[in-house]
Parts: sequence; C-alpha cells; structure tokens
Amino acid sequence: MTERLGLGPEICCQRNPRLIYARITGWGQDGPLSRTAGHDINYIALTGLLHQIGDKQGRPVPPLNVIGDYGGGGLMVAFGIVCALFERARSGRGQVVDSAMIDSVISFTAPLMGLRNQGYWIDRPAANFLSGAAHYYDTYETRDGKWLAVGAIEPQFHQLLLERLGLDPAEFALGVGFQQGLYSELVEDVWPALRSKLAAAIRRYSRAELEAMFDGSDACVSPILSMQEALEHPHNVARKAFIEIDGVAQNAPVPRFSRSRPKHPQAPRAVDANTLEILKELGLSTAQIEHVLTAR
Amino acid sequence: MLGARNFVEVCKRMAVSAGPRFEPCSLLIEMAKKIPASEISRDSIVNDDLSANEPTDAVAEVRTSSGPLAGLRVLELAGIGPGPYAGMLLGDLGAEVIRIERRGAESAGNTDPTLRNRRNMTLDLKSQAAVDVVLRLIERSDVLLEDSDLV
Repeated sequence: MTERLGLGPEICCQRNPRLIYARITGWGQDGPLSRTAGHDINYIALTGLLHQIGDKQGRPVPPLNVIGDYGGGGLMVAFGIVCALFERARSGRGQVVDSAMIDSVISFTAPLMGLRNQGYWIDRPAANFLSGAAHYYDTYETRDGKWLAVGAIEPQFHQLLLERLGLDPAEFALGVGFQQGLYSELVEDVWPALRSKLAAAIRRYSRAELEAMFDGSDACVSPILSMQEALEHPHNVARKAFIEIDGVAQNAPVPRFSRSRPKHPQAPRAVDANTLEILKELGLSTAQIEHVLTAR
Repeated sequence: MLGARNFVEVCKRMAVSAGPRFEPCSLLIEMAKKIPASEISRDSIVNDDLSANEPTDAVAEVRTSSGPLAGLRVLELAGIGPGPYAGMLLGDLGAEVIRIERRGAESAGNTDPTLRNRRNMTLDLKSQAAVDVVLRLIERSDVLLEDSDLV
C-alpha cells in the first residue's frame, strides 16, 4: 500500500540507507491470498492453531484478536525491528523487516508440532492437554457462577489440588500428566471422568472461598478475573502492573529493565496536536508550512 | 610471511573468538590490502559474512551464521514453553544459542521444532564446577536467557 503513495521500501531506504522499514501484514507480501482482505480470525484459521482452541463440543472459538494482531503481528514486528537494529549496529545499514501475522502465528505452533510428532495429539478442539482435554488444565464453574482456572500439570501440584479439595489421589492416579497409557484413552475416557469429579468438588464453593482455600499454595489454581477485577487484584496492585495516565487505567510498559527505565507514559494526544511543531522542527518556512497544510 | 589462506584463517579465528566486539585494526586492514585481490575478498574479513570462505575449522563452521542476529551469543538455561520459543526465535535469526540442560534430561530427538538451531550441553548445575563453567560461558555471551521461575 505504501508503494502506491510513493513511500515504498525502495524509495525510503534510498532516502535513508539506515532505515529499518518494518511491514506488518496478515497474509504476507506474496502468495495467493496476499491481496485479499482478512482479519485476525482469518489469518489464525490457516495456521492450524484456531482449530485447536474451542469448546468440548468441537467448535473452535475466537480467542479475541490477541493471537494474530498483537502476538503474531505487533509483538513479532517489534522484535524484528530490534533484531534489525542490532544488525545495523554492525553493518551500518537498514533493511526491510517483513512480518506476516500468519507466519508468526505458525511459529506459535512450533511447540505443538513437538507434541504432535511425539504422539500426544488429537486434531480437534479441546483434545490437547493444554486446550482443555485434561481435567488438571481447564476452567471450572464455582457455586456463585464465577470461574476458576486450574493448571496443576505436575504431579506435586496436582497432589496439592486434590488435597485441598478433599479428593482421593488414588481415584486420579491414572490421569496425572499426559504420558500414561494411550493418549486417546486419556482424552476420551480417563480425563472426562476426572473432570466430572473435580467439577463437582469445585462447584461446592464460591470463588472467594476457593481463593481463600488455595491462597499462597502451589496448586496452580487462580480466579478468572474480569478486566475490572484484574485492575484491583492484590498481585497486580503490588507490582503496579496497571498504571494511571490522566486518570485512565492501563497496562504499565513492558518488559521491565533493571537500568533503562522509561518515563511514565504520556497520555494520547489529539491527532493534530503536534503538526505545526514538527513541521517547524523540520525547518520548513511559514510559507512551506502553509503549503503543506493546504495542498491537495 | 602468512599466505593469503592462513591469513584469512587467523582473522576468522580472531573474529570468531572476539565475537561482536571484533573490529579489525588498521594494521590488519593494511595487511589485507597487500594480499592479491584474486586470492581473497577483503570484505570477508571486515564483515561478518564468514560464509564467503569455505570453513575449514569445525568451530568456525558451527559459528558461521547469517541473519540479523549473526554474532549474538545467547546462553539458554533450558526451560519449557516460553524459554525454548524465545531461544528458537533468536537462533532462527542467526544468534549462536547454547542451551544448557540438566544432566540426565531426555533428548527429544528431532521432534520438537522449538529446540532447533542450538548447540546443546548438559551440566549438573548443583555442582560448583558446572556453575563455574556457566560463569565462564557468560563472560563470552551477550545474553543469558532463563525461565527458571516457571514450573
């Protein structure tokens, strides 16, 4: 698109050979779909990943637009830019960083490929021990209609989970981990039965009671917080994970650096708040500025 | 008098052992200029494109890398999930990633893509000798990557 404006990579990089020209697309710069419209849900649909995320009835569920737009898109290009800067420190030259969301999300499937290659895999939603097949890695409803996240994968954490809920470890022995017996048997038979038992135990308590029950433990049990609740959770408050800018609560800058701490972020400004100031910084005369502001 | 080929080898070894901090001094550049152009590309000494010449040394071959992170040395204390994924990203882009697993850890064979592009070693990090090895590696590394806090 920038090429059509006369701002494509060739022109820009010729103008400034040190420029890092960073491009984000969904489909990539080439390939059969490269000129078609799409959104996050479309890009992640073609990666094999969306197919894995869904409900127990086999329906894939959109994970908001976090995986494609922000993970595969924004985060990956930011990383690519920094890599190019590192290279530029040695070569003195810029280059084009071409970050396609679909490529990046495919890279997120790398660990899943490992599981698949090793046989711990069934190709449908909620059939992976990390997508809700396993009783120990799933969400559970509480007595007051709220939700709990359980992630007790390792045996020692699983043990703590059962202990605090008063469940008999012997009944859960065959379902610990994901490598006991046939993987498909775990998914079809063992884990569903264990999920029912765990769900019944959890449903006896309110979310607040469960939070108190598991407070400070290694059972890997957490309340699933709404956005408002996340703002107020003691862990986030203690760490200042949220900050306020002009009264608007939002995430703090990430990640954190031991020496190079950025200033408190500036609130977003109006779209044209700095136009004049920047044109003056560029050294444009009043007449030139007038021309820029009025030319069609 | 060093022949052209030996000179290139010496420079390569110096570049490789110095890592990102290697900048050929003017003497080296003057010496390089005296070598007939037909025998050697001067650019291959002052740039990082060590693949311009056939590596004769196993270490140089392993360390010859390309991509924006060529020359970056990463020490990865083995974890699962985010750590190996980050190590993969860095290694894929040319960083030299050494992954340290605990002694007795099982090899995943060729099944886990996130473990590609590494040199691997095992150490018993409970021993002071192993810790000393890691500290020596750290002296010559740019990055230490660890996710030991995760389960």
